[in-house]
Amino acid sequence: MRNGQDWLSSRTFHHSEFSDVPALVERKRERGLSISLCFPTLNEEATIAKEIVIVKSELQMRYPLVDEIVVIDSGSTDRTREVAAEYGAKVYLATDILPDIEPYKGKGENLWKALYVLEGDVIVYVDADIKNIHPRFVYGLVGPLLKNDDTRFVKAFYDRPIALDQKTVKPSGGGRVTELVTRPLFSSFYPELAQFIQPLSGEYAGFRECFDTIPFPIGYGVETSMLMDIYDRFGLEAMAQVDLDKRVHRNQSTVALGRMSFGIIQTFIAKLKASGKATMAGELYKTMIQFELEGGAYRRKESMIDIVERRPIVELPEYLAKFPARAGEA
Amino acid sequence: MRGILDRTRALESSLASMKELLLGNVVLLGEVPSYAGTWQSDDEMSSVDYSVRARFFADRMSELGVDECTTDPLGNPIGIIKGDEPGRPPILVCAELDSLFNPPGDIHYAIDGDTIVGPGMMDNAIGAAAVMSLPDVLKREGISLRSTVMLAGIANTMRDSKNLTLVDRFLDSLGTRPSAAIIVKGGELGRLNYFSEAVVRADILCERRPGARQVPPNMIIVANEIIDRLLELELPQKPETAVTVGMIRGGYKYGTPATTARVGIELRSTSNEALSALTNRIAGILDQVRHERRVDIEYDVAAALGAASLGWSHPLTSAAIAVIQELGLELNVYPSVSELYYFLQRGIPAVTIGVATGSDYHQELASASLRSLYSGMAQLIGVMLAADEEAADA
Repeated sequence: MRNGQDWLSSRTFHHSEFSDVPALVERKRERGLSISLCFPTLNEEATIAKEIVIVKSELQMRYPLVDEIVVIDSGSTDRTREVAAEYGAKVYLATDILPDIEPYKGKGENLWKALYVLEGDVIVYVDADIKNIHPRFVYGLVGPLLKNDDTRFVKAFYDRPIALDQKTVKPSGGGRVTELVTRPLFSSFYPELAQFIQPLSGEYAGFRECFDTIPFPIGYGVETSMLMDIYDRFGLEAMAQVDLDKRVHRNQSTVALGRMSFGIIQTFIAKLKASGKATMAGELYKTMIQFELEGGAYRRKESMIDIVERRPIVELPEYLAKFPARAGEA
Repeated sequence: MRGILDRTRALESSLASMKELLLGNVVLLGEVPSYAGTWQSDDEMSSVDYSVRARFFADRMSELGVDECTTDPLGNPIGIIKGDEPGRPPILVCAELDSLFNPPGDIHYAIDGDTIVGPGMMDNAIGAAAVMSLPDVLKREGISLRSTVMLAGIANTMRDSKNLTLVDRFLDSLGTRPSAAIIVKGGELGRLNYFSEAVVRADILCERRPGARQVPPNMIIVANEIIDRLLELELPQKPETAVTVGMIRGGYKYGTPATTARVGIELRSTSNEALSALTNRIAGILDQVRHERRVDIEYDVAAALGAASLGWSHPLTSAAIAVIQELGLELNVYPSVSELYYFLQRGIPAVTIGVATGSDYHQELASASLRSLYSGMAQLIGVMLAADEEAADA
């Protein structure tokens, strides 16, 4: 594998290497950069307040590392938006951003639309369901970007304990989709990317050009697709990963993970076709078929998972009107 | 005093603008388990068992800009904010760092509107976080005191039944006697302890006698007999005196008579003499059961506090009452059965106050009101300012 072990050892960090936050703030100032943090949300009232409080307290009020905290919401039916605004985040409903464009619903849609409202040169995406939020989730991600001039994108990895119920936490065993789907696919077609310990982690940061020049699937495949596109466009040397230690979050059912895997496989194959790495004799089916045991009998359950992809936002006239300096990239 | 009260009331509203800082401190401190781990002292000769929460408290205070941060020989972190008149004795503000309730697994706090939820919140994560937040709050509010302020977190009070004796040792280790001390508890807001009851907390351990020839009695039955005799005691209503059986443990198998049993009791009285008399009567009961049942009975005192009082009319008591009333809080005066005695015994004017309103203190979902913490912090600073002024007048 090209650059295999070298990359793993030279581009894998631990968050503690960047815990000197005042030094990061100074580095940010020297490089004249601004940093935006985005939380994509859908019904996250249980965790969003704490995430905002910790980042605002530690990385805005105490040390001005993060310039803005933005919540992009998919249409929560709980108090997510209200709570986030109460704690000082800028809050947007995804459908209110670029309202003239046909809306879709999904995390990828939020991440893509966030690029239009975020002002920073560096964008940090952090999932909003983290129970053990800590400033390291942000400074660990931006640290490699600020300290190493050639690093453009950083992906998080961590231990992923599974919360079996309210009392019981299993210390390992998370990342099932990673080990059973994504890593085998990467190993087969993109072995360099198989070195990412948690390719599906929802926490990553990068310079704006990493995100605004790539397409965004609106649904499950966004993290997989993002890695492939950033790799194709900027190369492995521009990418890094950082160990954020433990991350505690809601556990998903195997059925839900099955749907997620289906979406990732669909996205992956579409990207393979587009890159010419594989050809298909026909079209893929878009329906995930699962079974539920109900009253002693199996019941067929179908989920339609269509892969819709947003084109690079830098190609959008509205985006270029707001960020004219990005015009050369379109 | 009027100026201090006005300042205190103004502080309450400006503290609301620091809610993220206050909340951040509560969450970050409370999520560090108070029972877990140790960290090694820089002093290689030391064999002290340092708690991770104590380390966090010390690091945080250094980061928040205290003039000095140190640890005493017991590993208790102490931050020092130098006063404008360094020759004056310091004001001590302290909080227990430990949480009595510790859940299995990691601790995660949640914020739900005005409520912060998580194990150990009220006893005593939020109290310790209030003390830890002081350097930042005082700096942002431009408040400086003439007296030096010592901010102390007292660790390991819950470990190995050491209980309050570590507070006693903490005070022994202080080089200078403070002019006043404010003991900060999580709850409840409005609480004021300026006097203590005489208290003895003790374990009664019943064990079969080694080599006993007779069939040994079931120690749970023996413990039960002791409890029955304790309940038969006629106790005076004045001075008010009480016995509480708080804990019982014994046995190891459903079908086997217990070979050991332990009963945890607390004796309280408003009079040292009455408590002493009660202790003697209990010693008599234990002697009687020991001989009649032919078993070993030990009486281990975990903590013994005396009755002491700062006095209703002491300037520190009066100042605390004035501040509490100025903030519109309901004054709740009752005797301390905790560390206050050790301060008063040494002649250190001291009061215990609470900084938040909360519920379910010792459960998984212990909670505190964020808004109440604004009042609690304002109250704490108001009492500090009053103690500073009083020390100047003394």
